[in-house]
Amino acid sequence: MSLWERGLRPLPVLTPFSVEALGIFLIGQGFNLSAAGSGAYPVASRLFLYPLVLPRRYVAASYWWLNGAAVGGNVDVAVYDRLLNRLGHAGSTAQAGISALQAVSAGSLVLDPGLVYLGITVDNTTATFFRTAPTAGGIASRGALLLASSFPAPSSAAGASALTSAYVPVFGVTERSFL
Amino acid sequence: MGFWPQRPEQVSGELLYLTPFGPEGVFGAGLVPGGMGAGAWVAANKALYVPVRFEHPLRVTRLFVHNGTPSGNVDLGVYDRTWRRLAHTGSTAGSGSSALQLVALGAPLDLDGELYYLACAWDNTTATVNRSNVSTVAFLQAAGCAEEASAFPLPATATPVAITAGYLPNFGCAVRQAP
Repeated sequence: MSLWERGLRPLPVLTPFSVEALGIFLIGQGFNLSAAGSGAYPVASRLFLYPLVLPRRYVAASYWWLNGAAVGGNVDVAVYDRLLNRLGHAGSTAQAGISALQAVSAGSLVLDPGLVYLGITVDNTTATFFRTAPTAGGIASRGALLLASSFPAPSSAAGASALTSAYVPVFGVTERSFL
Repeated sequence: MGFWPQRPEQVSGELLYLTPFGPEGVFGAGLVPGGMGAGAWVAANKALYVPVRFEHPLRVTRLFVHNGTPSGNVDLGVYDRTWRRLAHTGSTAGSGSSALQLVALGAPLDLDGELYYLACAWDNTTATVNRSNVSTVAFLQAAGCAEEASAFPLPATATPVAITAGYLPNFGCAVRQAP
């Protein structure tokens, strides 16, 4: 019986690199988490959405992201349901702390089992994040999406289309009170 | 899709060794750590915690650490996701250079598809352990790892904080398929 059939509890910190998301694909392509390095956000106000299948109910305590070698402008991290309705988001947050993790409370955002999307959007291209850069088409083939002109993260991302940027930032949610 | 190489009926009664390096641990967070080598323990009496989850019910009979050159004492344990200690070996003299040191639990510990933390603590920094040196500590944070000072022997309830050492030790549990 598979991980999903059994309802295996997710790891405490979830990212696009988690096996519940693009992890196996990224590992296979050589773009695992430890291969991430600093890279500028590709397009201002572009919302990136990375699919994540939750085997179990998950309660997110914080949104977070890993800043790169330069910071600038504002960041928003969000979670969307399978119909691309926003379930919660950090709200516009000034990026601060070079090469540092930044976290914003998510309250107790309840995510039911099934498909959700981790979303991130930034209002400039000066901001950098730890990220990997696998082929955009490859990520898109695993269900990653984008929506232009979307800062902060909109209440609906229903117009999203296949991702065209080779960019998978290190960000996500955590159920813990610390990272 | 399953992580395990065999179905449960095929591993029934057989001994397996599970470590944080596997799909049960940081690999499941999309982190592929670098090569392994002996390194001095991070700080005397410090505990490191690594999240794991298992795809099948398992019975843990022994815990182990992959020694470099052991010294002093080690304590190995398993915690639940609320940081309650489920089992530990207790303070045990390190022995066996460059070898797996297996320590029996007082009673078998049955684990299911929940999230657990494997814990390892040494009471000195002379001991070396085979570990992966993760240069960006934030990657271990993103994988859900944590640490606790003054945690030898392992406390009944852990009070961990964000990990500050880029140190992923090779340790884990010896298991049999739970009956």
